[in-house]
Amino acid sequence: MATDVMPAHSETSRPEDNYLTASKGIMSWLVTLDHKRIGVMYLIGTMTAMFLGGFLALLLRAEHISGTPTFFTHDQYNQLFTLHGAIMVFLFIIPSIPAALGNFILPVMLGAKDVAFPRMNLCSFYLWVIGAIFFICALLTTGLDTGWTFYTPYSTNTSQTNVVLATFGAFILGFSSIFTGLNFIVTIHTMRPPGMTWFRMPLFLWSLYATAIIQVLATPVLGITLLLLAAERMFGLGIFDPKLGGDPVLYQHFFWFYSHPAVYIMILPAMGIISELISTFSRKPIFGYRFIAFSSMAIALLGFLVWGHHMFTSGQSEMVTIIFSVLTFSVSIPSAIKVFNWLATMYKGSIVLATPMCYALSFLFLFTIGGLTGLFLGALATDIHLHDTYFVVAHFHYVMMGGTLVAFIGGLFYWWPKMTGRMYNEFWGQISSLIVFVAFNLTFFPQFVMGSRGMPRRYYNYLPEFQVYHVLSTIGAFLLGFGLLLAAIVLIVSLFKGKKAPANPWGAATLEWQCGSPPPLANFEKTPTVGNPYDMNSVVWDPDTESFIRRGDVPPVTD
Amino acid sequence: MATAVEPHESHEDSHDDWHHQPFSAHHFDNAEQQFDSGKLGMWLFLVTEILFFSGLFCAYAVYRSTHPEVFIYASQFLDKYLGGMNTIVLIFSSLTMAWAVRCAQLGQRTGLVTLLGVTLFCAALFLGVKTFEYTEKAHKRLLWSGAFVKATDIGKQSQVFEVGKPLPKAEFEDRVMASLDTIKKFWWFACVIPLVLIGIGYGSGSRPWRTTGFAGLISIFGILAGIWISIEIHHAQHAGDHADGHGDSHAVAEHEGEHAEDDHGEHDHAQTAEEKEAAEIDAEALAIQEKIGIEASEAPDMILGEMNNAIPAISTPVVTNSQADAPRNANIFFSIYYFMTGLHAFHIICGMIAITWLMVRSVENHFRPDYFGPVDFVGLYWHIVDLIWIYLFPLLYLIGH
Repeated sequence: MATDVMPAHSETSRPEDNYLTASKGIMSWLVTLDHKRIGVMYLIGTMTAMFLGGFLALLLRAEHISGTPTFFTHDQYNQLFTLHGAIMVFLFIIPSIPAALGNFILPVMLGAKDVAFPRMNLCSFYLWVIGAIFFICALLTTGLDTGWTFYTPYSTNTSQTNVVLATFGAFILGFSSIFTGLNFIVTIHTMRPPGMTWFRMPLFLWSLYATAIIQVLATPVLGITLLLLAAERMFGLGIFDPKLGGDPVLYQHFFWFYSHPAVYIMILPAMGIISELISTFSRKPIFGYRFIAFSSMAIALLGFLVWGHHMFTSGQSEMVTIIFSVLTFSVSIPSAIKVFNWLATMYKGSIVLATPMCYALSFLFLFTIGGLTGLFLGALATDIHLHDTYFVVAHFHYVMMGGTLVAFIGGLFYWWPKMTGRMYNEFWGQISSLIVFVAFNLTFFPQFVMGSRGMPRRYYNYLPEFQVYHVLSTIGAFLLGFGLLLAAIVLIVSLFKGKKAPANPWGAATLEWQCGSPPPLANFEKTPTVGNPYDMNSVVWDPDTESFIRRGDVPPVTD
Repeated sequence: MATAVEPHESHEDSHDDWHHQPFSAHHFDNAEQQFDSGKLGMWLFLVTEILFFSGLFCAYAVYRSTHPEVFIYASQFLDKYLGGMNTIVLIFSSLTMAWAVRCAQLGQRTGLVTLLGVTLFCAALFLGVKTFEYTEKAHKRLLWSGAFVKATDIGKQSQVFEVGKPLPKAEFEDRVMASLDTIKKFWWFACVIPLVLIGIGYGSGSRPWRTTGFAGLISIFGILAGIWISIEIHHAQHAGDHADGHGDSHAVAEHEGEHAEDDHGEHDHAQTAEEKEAAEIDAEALAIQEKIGIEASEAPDMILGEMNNAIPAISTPVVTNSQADAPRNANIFFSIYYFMTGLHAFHIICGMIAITWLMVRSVENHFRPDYFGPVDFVGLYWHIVDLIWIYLFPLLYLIGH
């Protein structure tokens, strides 16, 4: 490793110093190997996918304004919820935090110049684009009506839609995800600067590391499953077709062997963001650093052992369901460790209710509800009743949306000054988080109620007694859409009207705040001093630069 | 350390001379870090490969445990001698690959290029044998479960396989045959491409083009040799035996592959005049044999199970010509066989492309004792492909033997 330090640039505020202005022209973006630009392109892509998926969700909710057919036929309804699910899962949630925020932040947080394999990083982005194109083609041709899970035998023998196209899309997106994960693992292992030990890594990096392990280990299984599915549909391979000697439940095992770990791909990076936000905005070192770090790894490990809980009603043996149920309950332990450590971090902290913190607090509330309702579904007796009802829909939306999406937006607000060099409007940011929080609960809490009363998911119409919950949910959904749109507007407006962002607006002690905003092409003007990433005492507010700077009188704490 | 020094702004720094090496990446601090990153990345990629195949191994295990009789029965239609030869060829190619890595580390350019060439030839030999196997099976109608019905029929009506009589409108069958015919007509194209590349190389004085062309020729001759050897092994086994169903009049002249690919395209075995002649003689002999033996061996090649009743497991494999012994859904074995070996063959092709790329770079003298990462990483990949085959071979070919 290098031990010499290269002299820093004398002028740190030259506009051509930062990554956005280092080179110009569309091609300089499209073929860039810079992780920051790739992160920004990923951000634009995943945000587009999110708004597309969200638009489909609003159409779904609009259909449910009454129990009778309103806007769509039942076939169109099937296509809507399938595409909503598939786009949100494959195109948005899985790549959102790791590929968009992670690509941007990980090397800077680590103190590296770039990820280990910049070309593979760009390749990963273009694989994402190709996968997205496949999905859009499926959407524009015959659509897709199998549900995002592609369950056989419907997907192989019955569906008249373009299953193979969507399958290949998901297959390609899987490789995009693998490349991201592989890059992160190697970067964290081999690119750490001197002084950056494993236990000086910010917790966001720990969570990305755990996520990357899941991405590398689980995604190939989805790849082979989707290949088998496509072969089954095109050639009649027979593996999943009982008439040809196969077994459709095997498909479910294969699928969930990836797709359950995938929900931890979705939530772990979000938890990492929350660790950063809670610590920074409580102005207090994170409580239980090692516990949070190891609980990320524990979740990653346990995530591989619980896939069968999606199949309690599929006819697998009772012994197997009991084992999977027990293992499912065990996942709550590391999750709860995190939540309690976050609460302990906030305890007696001086909490600053900046927009990212508002989103982080929303996360705590929503994720806890989502996680606890997961235990309802992990318990065998209740799951038999709740399986495939709106209770399940509400549960995973509380975790995926109330967890991942909210944390993603929180992280986006948090790192926005770093990414763009602009400060957003704090007041409207806070308002957006309030609207999102209230509207989210209005949307999904009624779904818990109607699900527990027997409203099945994926139904196109419903009995009159569910009308009030559906209407509440629909109102909430449109309000939620408005809140997210407001957040997007706040961020976009800041690009044009925002104040110039200082290097360290929040007073965080992690390395990414030690370089300029936006960072220069090679990330650091000055060699960053690696110390305790949560040592809030090491930075102090400097009115001259309107930024936090490192205190000269406090030596960096070495563990 | 991360600093904002552009590569062209040289400083008196111990790594600077490394940063000016031709293949040093600017975001690494030194050669060691670059190599370590690459190596870890490659190992992780191999882990994903293992998991990619693990789904298939898992499917294999499931169906082996639920349909043991199918595996015992159907695996006797695989030729363990061909499989064994392929195993030996691949293990040998792993040796040459490891040796090539050693040459790269020691900076021995000639040895490196030669050994890469041998490895490439072995890979092509493997593909040639696979080509023969697939073709022979296609002729014997040993295909996967759904190959005898229209895709739209699967699952919509109960499907009864009639042994020896695939459904008249078997679309897959037609498609395979049509593509085989096309390939048969245009096999020589496969040689044209590398020859054109070599021509371009000599014309423009570009060594990479030439190397690519020669690598393509090595691949093609390897595939041809593989097909030729397979035919010899096949005949040796069935000499004096009855005609075994692949001996229709154009049998031998149709050993082409399913994995058509530009560089290592598929073609007939008939590369040279002598080979062509030999093929015709073979075909005639087989046709005669077939006429003699046709009564004795009435359609011995169909193993499609009947749907009416499951046959109990056969405890000892008996090579039988009687369809009554075919267990129900016997073709699930071939579904798994084609998928596993097909995916493996695809990985072989990818490996051949990678080795070709290495050959081009070795001829250009890119690799030195302080920069041999790519050779090492492709070597690792090649060993994993080899290893997967080492598992596939006993699992598919040696059941009940």
